[in-house]
Amino acid sequence: MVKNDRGFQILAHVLLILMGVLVVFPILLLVMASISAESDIIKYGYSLFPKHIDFTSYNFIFSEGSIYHAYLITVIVTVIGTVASVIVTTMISYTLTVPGLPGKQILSFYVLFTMLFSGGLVPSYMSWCNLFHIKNTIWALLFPFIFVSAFHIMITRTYFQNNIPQEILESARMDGLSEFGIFFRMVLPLSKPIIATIGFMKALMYWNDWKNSLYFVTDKQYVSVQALLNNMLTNVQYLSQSMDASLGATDMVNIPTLGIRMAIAVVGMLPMIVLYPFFQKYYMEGLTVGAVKG
Amino acid sequence: MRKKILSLILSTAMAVSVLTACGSSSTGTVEENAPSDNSDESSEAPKEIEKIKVFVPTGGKADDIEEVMAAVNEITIPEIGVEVEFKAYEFGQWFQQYSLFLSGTEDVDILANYGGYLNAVSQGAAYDMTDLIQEYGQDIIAREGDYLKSGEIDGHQYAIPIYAGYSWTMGMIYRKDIVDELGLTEAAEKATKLEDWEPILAAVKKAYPDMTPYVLNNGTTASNFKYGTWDDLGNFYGVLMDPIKDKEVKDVFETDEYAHLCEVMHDWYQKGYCDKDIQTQTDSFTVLTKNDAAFCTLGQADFNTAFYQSTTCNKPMGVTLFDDQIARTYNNVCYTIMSNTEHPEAAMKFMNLWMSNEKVGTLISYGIEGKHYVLDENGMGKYPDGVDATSTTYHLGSNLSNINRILWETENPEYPELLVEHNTNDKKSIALGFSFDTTNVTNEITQLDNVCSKYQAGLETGTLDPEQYLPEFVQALKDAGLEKVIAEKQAQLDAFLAE
Amino acid sequence: MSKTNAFVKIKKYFPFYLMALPGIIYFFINSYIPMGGLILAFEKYTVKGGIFRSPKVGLSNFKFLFSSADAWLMTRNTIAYNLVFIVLGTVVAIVVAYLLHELKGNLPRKIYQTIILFPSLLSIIIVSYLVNAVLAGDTGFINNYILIPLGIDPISFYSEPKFWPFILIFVHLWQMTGTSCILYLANMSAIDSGLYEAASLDGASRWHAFINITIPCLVPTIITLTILAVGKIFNSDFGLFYQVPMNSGALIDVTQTIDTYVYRGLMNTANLGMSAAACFYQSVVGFILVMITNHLVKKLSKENAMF
Repeated sequence: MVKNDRGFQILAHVLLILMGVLVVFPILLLVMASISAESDIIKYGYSLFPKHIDFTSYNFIFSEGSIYHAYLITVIVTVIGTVASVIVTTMISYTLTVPGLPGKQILSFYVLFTMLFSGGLVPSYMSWCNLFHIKNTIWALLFPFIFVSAFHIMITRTYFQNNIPQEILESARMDGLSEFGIFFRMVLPLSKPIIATIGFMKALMYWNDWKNSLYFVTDKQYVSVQALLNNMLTNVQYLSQSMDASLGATDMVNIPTLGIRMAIAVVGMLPMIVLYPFFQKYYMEGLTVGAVKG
Repeated sequence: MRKKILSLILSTAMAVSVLTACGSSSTGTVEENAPSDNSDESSEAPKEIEKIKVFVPTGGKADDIEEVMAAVNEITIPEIGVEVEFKAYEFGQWFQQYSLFLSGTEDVDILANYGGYLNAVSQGAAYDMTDLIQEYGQDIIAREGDYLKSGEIDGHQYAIPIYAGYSWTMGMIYRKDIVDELGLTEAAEKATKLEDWEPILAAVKKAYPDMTPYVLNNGTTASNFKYGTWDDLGNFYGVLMDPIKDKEVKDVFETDEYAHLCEVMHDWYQKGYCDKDIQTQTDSFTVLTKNDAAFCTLGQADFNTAFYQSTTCNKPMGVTLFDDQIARTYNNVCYTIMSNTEHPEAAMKFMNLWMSNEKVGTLISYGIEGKHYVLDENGMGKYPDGVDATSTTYHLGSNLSNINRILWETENPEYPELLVEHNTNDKKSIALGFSFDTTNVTNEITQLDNVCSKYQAGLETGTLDPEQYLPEFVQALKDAGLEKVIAEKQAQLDAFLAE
Repeated sequence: MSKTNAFVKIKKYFPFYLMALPGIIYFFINSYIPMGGLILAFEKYTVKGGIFRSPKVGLSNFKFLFSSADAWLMTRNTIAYNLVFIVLGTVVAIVVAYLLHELKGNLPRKIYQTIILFPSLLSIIIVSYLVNAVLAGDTGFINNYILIPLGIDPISFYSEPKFWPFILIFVHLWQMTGTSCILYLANMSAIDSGLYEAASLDGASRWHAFINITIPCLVPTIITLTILAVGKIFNSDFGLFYQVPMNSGALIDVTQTIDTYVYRGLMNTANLGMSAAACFYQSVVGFILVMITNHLVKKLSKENAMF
C-alpha cells in the first residue's frame, strides 16, 4: 500500500519474531525437560540444552499403560462430544433462522439468557449429581458446562443468515424434500466452514477439558489425559502425606518423576498441535464470520 | 478447489471416526455396565447379602482390588452376610474429591477420613453410630477401649479411628550419618529447642553446599508447625499450650512460643538454610532425603519415628523430641458411615471384622499371599521376588488398617507391643478423647481457613517477616471470628471435662 | 377456518421445533435448573436435606461472605484483572493483527500466525507446567540462566505476590492474543483497499492511515468483543488463577478471584452454603453488569447492541 517502507517491514518482523520466540520457548523447555536426565533438572534446572538425553520417561509411560486408556477416553469423548455438539448446535441455530417461526423471539431469548445468567459451579454441580446422577459416567465428560454454548449458536446463526439463501431452501421444499432432509442434505453441506470452525473449537475444548473430570469423575475408568496430568500435579503434592510418622507404616513411595510429568504433558499437547495446521484455515475463516456481528 | 477437497476429506474422516468410535464406545459401556448391574440385583435378592462400598485413599497400588475383594468376601459373606466393594483413590485425587464425597453425591457407605472427620459431622454426612457400635462393634471396643473416644462428639460416636500412635510430640528429624560425620551427634541429641539447631544447620550448609539444611516435612500439605508440643484440639483455632495441666483454650498464634518459632524460621530463611521456594515445596522430606537433597525437618515424632524414617529414607535417621510424648485425641485416619447409607448395620459389621480380624486386615493391606506378598523367615511380609513397590499390582499399605495384620519387613518388629505400651503408659492430655463439634461455627472456620491459607505457610516457613506479618495475621484471624470459635471450643471442652 | 390455519401452521413448523428440542432440553438441564439450585445460597446444606430440603438459614451465608475481607478481595481481583485483560488484550491484539496484515509476503505471515495461535491450543494445566519450568525457584529457567549468571539473587516467584499481577497478565496475553488477533486481522482484510490508496495519494503517513482508517473500521468488532467480555467480568479463568500459581497461599491476595473462592469453598473447606452464596453473588451482579453495558451501547449506537 503506502510507500515501500522497509523500516516498518523490518520492525514488524523483529516484533513478530520476538513474539514467536516467547511462544515457542517455554514449550521447547518442556519438551527438553521430558528428554533430560532427571538428576540434571534437579541439579542445573530446566534447560534448552540438556546435558544428557534420556528417554526413560517416555519408555516408562508407554510401558506402564495407563496413558493408553486415558488417551482412549480423551479421543472417544472428543469425537462423540464434538459431533453431537455440532449437530445439536446447528439444528437449533438453523431453527433460529427460519422466517416467520412462531416463538422465534422467545427461543432466541431462551438461548441468549444462558449467556447472561447462570447458576454457577455449586448449583450446577449439585443438580447434575443429585438430579441426574451423572457422577462416574462417560456423560459427565460430555455434557456439563461444555456441550452446547449459546455463543456458538449465535455464530452459526449469523453464518446461516448470510450464506444460506432462502430461495434454495424454498425450491427444495417445492421438490417435496422434508425439513430434516433439507437441513441435512442442503444446509449442512453448504455450511462446512462454520461446522469446521465450531467443530474444531469444540474438539479443542473437549481435548483440553480437565474440570469435568475433576468435579464428576472419581472412577479410574474415565480419567482422560488432561485429568491424568492434573491428578499427577496434585498427587505430587499429596502423596507425601501418607508418609505420616504416626502411621508407623513404611511401605511405598511411588511418585511420578519430573521427567515423567513432562513427558505426559508433551504427549497430551501433541495431537492438537499436529492436527491444528489442517484446521487452521477453517478455524480462522469461521471465526471471521461469527465475530463481525455476534 | 483445494478448500473443497480438504473439507471433503475432513468430513469423511470425521464421519468415519464417529461411526467407529460411537460403535465401540457404546457397545463397550453397555456390555460392561448392564449385565453387572443386573447380576448384582439378582444375587442380592435371594441370599439377602448386603452390599456395601468403601472409599479409601492410598499411596500404593490397587490394580487387583477386585480380586482381593473377592477373597475378602469369601470371609465376610459367610461370617456376616456382607459383600464389600473397595475403591482406592490416589492421594491427590482423594484430597480433591473428599469434600465432594461429603456432599452426598457419591454412592458410598463407608468413607475414610484422612486428617480428621469434623467436616463430615458438620455437613451431616457422618452417621451417628452410637447404638450400632454397641450392637455390632464389640471387637472394636475391646481393642481400642477409651481411645475410641477420639471418634466421639458430645456422647455420639461418629467415627472409628484406627488404633495408631496417639502419643507424640514435635521433633526434629535429621540425617544421623551427617551429624556423626560432623562430630555433632551429641549436640543434635541435646538440641531440644528449635533455635539450638542453628549452629548445626550452619555446619551442614558449610559442609554440604548442595544440600538444603531444612525442608518441609510434607511438602505444602501440612503446615510447618502442625505437630506442635501443644494439643490443637482438632484444628488450630484454640489450643491447650500445656495439655497436661491447662484447661484454658488459647489462641496459639498469639502466644510467645509461636512468635518465637516464626522468628527462628525467618532467621533460617534469611540465612539460606531453607530453599527459596519452601512455600511451594512439592516434594516430601522423604523424597528429598533419599536424593541427598535435605538434612532435616520438623514433624510429628514418637518412639517409632527414627526407625520409620530410616527405612523409608534409606538413610540412617535420628530424631530429637522437643518435649515428652503426650497422648492426645487421634483422628488422623478414621472411618465414618455415610449418613445416607441404606446399610448401616452391614457397614458396622464389616468395620468390626476389618478392625479385628487379622486375615481381613492383612488381605486389605497387602493383598493375597503368594501373589501380592510373601512371608520372610521372621513372618514379616515382603514383595515376592522380582516385584517391588512400583511393579506390584496390589498394595494398599498398612497405614489405613488397624494393627490386626502381619507386619511388613520394613517395620519395627516390636511395633505393635511398643505402640500399646506407649498409648497406655505415656502422659495424657487432659483433652484426650475430646473432639470439637464445628457445626455451629462452620462459616467462621471457612473464613479462618482462608486467612490461614494466606499467612500461615509464609510465617511458619520463615518466608514472611513475623515482625510485620504476625500481628497482621493475628488481627485477620480475630476479624474472621477466631474468638467466637475459641469460646465455642472452650465451652465444649468444659462440658467434656465436667463429665 | 382459523383452526385449520393453526393446524397447518403447526404442521409446517413442527419439524423445526423438533430440531430445536435437543438444544432446548440441554439448556434447561445445564443452565435453567442450576438457576433454581441457587436456593443453596440460603441454606445450610446437609446430606439428608439435599438441594431443596436442607434447613433454610436466610441471609446468614451472605452475611459471612461480606463481613470477611474475602468478598472485597475477590471482587477487586476479578474485576481488575478482567479490565486489564480487556484493555491490554484489545490493544495487543490489534497491534499484532496490524503487523501481520501489513507484512509483505504470504508465507511469513502464515508462519507467524500459526505460531502465535499455538498457545490457544494448550490446556491451562499444561500452561501451568510451562510457567513452572520458567519460574520455579530452584530449577526454573529465569533463576538459573538469567538471574544467577547476572549475579542477581534468585527470586522465589511463588511466594512473591508483587510479581503475579504481571505474570498472570502476561500468561493471559500469551495464551489469548492469537485468537483475538485473528478476528481483527480478518476485519482488516475486509477493509476496502481503495480507502488506503486514497489516503496514500493524499500523502497520509502510515500512522495516520492506521488511526483514521483502520481503527474506525474495527470499532464494531471492538465493541462487540468488549460487551461480551464485560458480560463475563465477574467470571475468571479458574485454571489461570488457581493452577498457574500452583495454589500458593502466599499469593492469595493477588490470585483470589470469585471462581477460586467458590472452588476452595466447595473442594477444600467443604462449605457448600458459602460457596453457593458466592455463586449467587457472581451470577446476579454479573447479570446486572451485562444489562447496564448493553443499555449503554444501545444508547451510543443501536446496531452494535447485543439484544
